[in-house]
Amino acid sequence: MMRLVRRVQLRLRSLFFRSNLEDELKDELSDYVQHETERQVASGASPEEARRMALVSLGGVQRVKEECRDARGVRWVETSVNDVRFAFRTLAKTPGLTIIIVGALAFCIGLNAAMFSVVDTVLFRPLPLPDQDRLVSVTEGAPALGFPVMPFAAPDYWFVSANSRSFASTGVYRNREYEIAGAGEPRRIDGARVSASLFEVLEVRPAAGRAFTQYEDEHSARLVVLSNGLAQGLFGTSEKALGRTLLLDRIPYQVIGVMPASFSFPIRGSRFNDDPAQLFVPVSWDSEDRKQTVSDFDYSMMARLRPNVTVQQADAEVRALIRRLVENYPTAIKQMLQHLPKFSLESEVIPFRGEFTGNVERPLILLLASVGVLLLIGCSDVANLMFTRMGARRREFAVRSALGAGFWRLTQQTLTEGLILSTAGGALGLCIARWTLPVLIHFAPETLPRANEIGLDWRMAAFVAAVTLLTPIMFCVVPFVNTLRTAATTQLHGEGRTTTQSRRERLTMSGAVVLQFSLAFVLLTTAGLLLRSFVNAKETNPGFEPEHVISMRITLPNSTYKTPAQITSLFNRLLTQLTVLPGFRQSGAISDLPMGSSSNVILTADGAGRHTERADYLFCLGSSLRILGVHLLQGRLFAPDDYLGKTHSAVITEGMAKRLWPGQNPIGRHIKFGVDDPMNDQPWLTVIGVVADVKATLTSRSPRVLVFTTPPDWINAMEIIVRTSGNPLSIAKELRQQIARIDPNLAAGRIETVDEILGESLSAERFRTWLLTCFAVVAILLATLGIGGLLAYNAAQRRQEFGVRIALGAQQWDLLGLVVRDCLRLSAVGVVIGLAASLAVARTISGLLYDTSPFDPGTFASVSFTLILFALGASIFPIWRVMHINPVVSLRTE
Amino acid sequence: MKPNDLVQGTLGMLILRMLALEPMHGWALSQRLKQMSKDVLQTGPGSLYPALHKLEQEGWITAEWLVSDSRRRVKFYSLTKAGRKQLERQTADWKRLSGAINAIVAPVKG
Repeated sequence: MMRLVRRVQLRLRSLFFRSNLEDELKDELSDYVQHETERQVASGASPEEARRMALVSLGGVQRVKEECRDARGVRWVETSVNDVRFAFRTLAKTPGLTIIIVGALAFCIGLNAAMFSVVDTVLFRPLPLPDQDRLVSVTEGAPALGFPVMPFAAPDYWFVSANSRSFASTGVYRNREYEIAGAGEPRRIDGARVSASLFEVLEVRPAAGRAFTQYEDEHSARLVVLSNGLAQGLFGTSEKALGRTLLLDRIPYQVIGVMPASFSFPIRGSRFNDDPAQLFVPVSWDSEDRKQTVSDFDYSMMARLRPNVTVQQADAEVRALIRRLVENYPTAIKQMLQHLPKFSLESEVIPFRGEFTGNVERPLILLLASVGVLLLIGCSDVANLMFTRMGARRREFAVRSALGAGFWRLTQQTLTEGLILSTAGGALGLCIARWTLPVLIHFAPETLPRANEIGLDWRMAAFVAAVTLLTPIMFCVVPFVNTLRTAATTQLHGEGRTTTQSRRERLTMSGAVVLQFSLAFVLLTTAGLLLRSFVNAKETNPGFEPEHVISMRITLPNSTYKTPAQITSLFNRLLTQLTVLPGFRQSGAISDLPMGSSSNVILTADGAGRHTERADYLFCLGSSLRILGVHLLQGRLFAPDDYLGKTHSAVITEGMAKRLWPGQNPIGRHIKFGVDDPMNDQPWLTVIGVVADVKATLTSRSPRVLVFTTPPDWINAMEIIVRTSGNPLSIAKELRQQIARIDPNLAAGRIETVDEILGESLSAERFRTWLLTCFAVVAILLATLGIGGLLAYNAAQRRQEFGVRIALGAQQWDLLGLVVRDCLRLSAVGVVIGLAASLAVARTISGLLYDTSPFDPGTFASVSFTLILFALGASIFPIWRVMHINPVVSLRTE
Repeated sequence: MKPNDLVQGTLGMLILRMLALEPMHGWALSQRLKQMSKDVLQTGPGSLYPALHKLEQEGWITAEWLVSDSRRRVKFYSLTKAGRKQLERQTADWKRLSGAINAIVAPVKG
């Protein structure tokens, strides 16, 4: 141990006190010479002769010194330092080239780092939940009702929870919006009703106060646990929040706990579109929950697997349990289900992570792969630039290896140079990533999970470090080995000054350019296909006219607005007041927008067989259908006489009419919500009109099966929609004021134009299309740089040849032809290889395309054309150089 | 193989051996080496000094600048604890090796 310390001390001394050591070495050796001289004098030699003999006995002072230095064991550090110095000197000699290389690397590494950070955070980084690999999501499913995956019905959850042996603990939550008042402005925020066991499943405890108990599951309890963010926003600190009272939907709730800051649940982007809850209230099961039905599937179930139980085992067990549950349904439900012969209840257990990664995994991996391809293009670009640098230094390499510099010595030096370039690129890239990340996050779709956690962290730094270490190998080794090979064989024969490139070198450099073009081709076609798909989606007719319509969500708290009369009075006053707003045209109310989450139902049609069909329904009041601009195909829309239970009428979409009564006139026919069963007391509705199909989102592949009907009474949550003559957002402020005038405590919900809301349904598509297009643009620039650089280099190498050609009578046009032919050959080969690769890649992205063939000939053709055009553009500079060759000058340099 | 090559590798051991007796400076070591090896080992100061530096880096010997009898600053080398152990190890190795070689090259005639 002591010896180790001593050795380290000595090494450090050798490194940092080099001059001291040198002095000591000199003293020591001169001491020897002196002693030896004295000895020789003593034995009778003359002083001069004695000194000479002393020096001879030493056998070359410099050699001894050199060997002593070697003995210090820090030689490699010193050589590395020398290499670094040397590399800096050579790089500084060609500043333009150095800047281009560092810039290209920085760009590629930066984009990679940013993209890595996004993908890593969303898909791979562990959640701040203990032992999360044991967490699973459990769902039910009723494919016949159009719901392959849905949350749990409360009684089903109790049954599974009580009988399963796979789970150590189970819990449920149900998202819900609350009007919050009692601290700050009244507003609406996302909350969740949770079972007491949910926090046990997640193994998270409140940072302050307590969580819920079993008792509060069973009994109504006015208690609330806040998220850390909400507690701080309302009360300053978690401690101050405890014991305080908040009005939720105008009912006082006592704050009993505050969750830790890292706790965010549910995860955004999960399958049932839950947003992170800012407050939690006990689930407090009520009588509605306790009824066994097959219509209310509202509770998302989470569970923690017992040790040694796999997801598959749990899945199989829950499936068996659900089968047993259906077998034991009450007779009344069994009778009702007889009307739905296709009905079956399914179940599924998936790892919790799948809950929110499922939708984003493919697009994100696609983006990461694209940006990786970009790095590959960048590296091959840099490799070619290094080639040209090393080509110029071939003679230096040859001389040095002739003087005994070993292969490894030269390799070390070249890699040092590469490492300096890539380190500069990596450092700059980190800055680029730092600047691009906020932009990325800004444009990310709202549904991107964990977007708030994305940022610079050690994982990203490690990624950049790894890329920085690996890239020099990619862009240095091939040019270096090649150069060395040619250098060793040819250079010292004296022809070093004039040789053109070796065949091997030309092939390698051309290969790199071809690779760039084919990779750029793949990126461009992918971007092109996404772009086309995006445009197609954007131009899709949604089945209504969203322009000039603003919508405002109004939710009236049950506690204040108890009777239909109160609700009606508020909405009537509101609609009357809206008529005075500037630019007002029409107003109405609808239970949800056509692209919103409407209620769904099984309905029965009149006629033979009592055909049943799953459908979504929307309640309409006022001129809402006219405001939305649905296209009436047959019959009529609602008139004031139809409202509020005066008639039982319905307007249905074209697709639904065709399904219910194929080939028949639907007007005057009847439908009924629910199955045709004595237990069902729903009235028969008369179909008065048929409208064109309506789409839920612009990218949905099939239209919604929609029923518009009028509610018997106003309901407490409605979407108020107003059509204006001008920009509808200009009345947003007045809308809020009108609401405040009627009920100052009423929290206005979001106010947005319908156009915007429809556009939001494309935000994920917009994000990936936008990103991939950026990558494609960078790719095409890098490829252009690559081919331009190569053509210029080739032209420079063939200067003498061109000079001879001119001297022998070649026209400038002939030379131009040579360059252009070179350019076309390279880019065409790249395009052909890229085409083949794209055809293979296109198949894998077909799932992300809307109304666009993955083999869209237009896209492929325009990409080929664009690439060749850019290649020709890149050849302008080399052509210019060739055209200006002066044969006299170029031959004289011979 | 030149006869000296075999011995070159053991130069370190010889230095340790000599320093085990008393601390010494470079020139004195070179003289002692010459005497001891009776001019057979052609290890001049040219290889002595690098060997000394290497041993110092290994931590087996340590150097000190002292003023000599002739009032000059001289670098004195002395054996460390680790060096003593190393010497023992090497000596044992050497004995085994030379014994084996002797047994082959110059077997005792019976």
